[in-house]
Amino acid sequence: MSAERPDFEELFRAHYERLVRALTLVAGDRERAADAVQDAFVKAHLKWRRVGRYDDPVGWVRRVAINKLRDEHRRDGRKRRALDRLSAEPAPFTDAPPHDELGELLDELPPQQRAAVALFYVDRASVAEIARALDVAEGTVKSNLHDARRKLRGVLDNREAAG
Amino acid sequence: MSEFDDDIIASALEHRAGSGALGIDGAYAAVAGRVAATRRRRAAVAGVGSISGVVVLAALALTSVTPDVVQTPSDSVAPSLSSMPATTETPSTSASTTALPTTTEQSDRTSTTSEPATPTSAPSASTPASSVATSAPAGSTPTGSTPTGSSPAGSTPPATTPGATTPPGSSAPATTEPDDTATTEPETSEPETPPTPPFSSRSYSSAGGSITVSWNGAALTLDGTSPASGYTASVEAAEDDRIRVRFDGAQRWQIEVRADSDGVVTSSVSS
Repeated sequence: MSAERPDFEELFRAHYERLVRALTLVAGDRERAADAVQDAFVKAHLKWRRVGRYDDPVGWVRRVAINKLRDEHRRDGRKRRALDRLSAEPAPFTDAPPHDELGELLDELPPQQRAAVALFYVDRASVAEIARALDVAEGTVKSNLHDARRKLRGVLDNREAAG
Repeated sequence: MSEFDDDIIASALEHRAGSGALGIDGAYAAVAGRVAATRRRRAAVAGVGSISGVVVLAALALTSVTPDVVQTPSDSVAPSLSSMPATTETPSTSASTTALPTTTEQSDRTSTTSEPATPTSAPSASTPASSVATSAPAGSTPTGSTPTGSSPAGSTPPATTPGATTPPGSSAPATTEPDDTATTEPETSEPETPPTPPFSSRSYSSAGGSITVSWNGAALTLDGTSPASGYTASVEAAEDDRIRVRFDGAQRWQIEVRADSDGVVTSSVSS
């Protein structure tokens, strides 16, 4: 039974960084993202005999981490807005670029669109995986990606033309 | 390839997300530390819950036991279920069923009162007390276990509720009352518990320590271990159908909890 389960540490090392980077875009703060991902991995570890048997244990971790961020967002909207503003500043432990037009656009994206692009382009999750993580239909994810991509493309093309 | 693939956007977002090292070794150590801390906390809570449950039930037993039906501890043993909202047996009933485990010495009665299925399984007053006994209290015999609930008689909340978030398929099943499947065969001396419905957590004790196990109807989960003073715990098996923990100290004790293919959870303690 346990032989069929992937190794927890292996899974952690394979996915931790990408998840944190993706959720950094969602949360706007590297530390919060890391906290959420670590929290999700702790829960996965505690239930590993069950979670490890899932077809997509990383999907479970991804969803738990996103749910944690959502809960925090609901619980403390004011604090989150402050953190969002702080996200414009480079965190001392990251080499994130200064806030620019792309950053502003990301901040302005609806949370679900921002999560979809972060998971798709940074975490490299599939549309189906994102749909499961966000608990929405695949069509909704596609719509989010389509809209967000168009906006991001506009910003990036302008930057390229100006630069 | 997806219709949304875009290297330029991906590159910009990855850059935006930061490319510095995240210190994955430190992160893994932090996760492992939090897991260990959570397990220690759960084990401690389970221990406190068990002790308080025993105290409360012992107090109940003191008020209801009648001297003429008291037997020796070795004659009757019975497991107690966790998550039992209240005892289903009244003191007057226990006093009149002279050969049932409900008429045993206080500490044993204590655990019996939280197991409503066992008393109802006794066919008659002529049934020997040992016929409904399925496990021995900790320390009384080396081959019995004493599972004690984390919230016996509704006195304390369940010891553990793993996972605050509820992803698909991860929710813990609701605790339900045990049913009549708890009936055991007369003359049974195997140190096994009766068939058990899903429970959120249950403690099994030995002189070397105790473990807390959850059963969701399909898989067992080791929630925590709590070695006695001078003992160390080693998890020898933590499978869906078998949990085995060894306690090494002055003496070696081993607690094993099994779930068979019919969903029957049994336990044994050996030294």
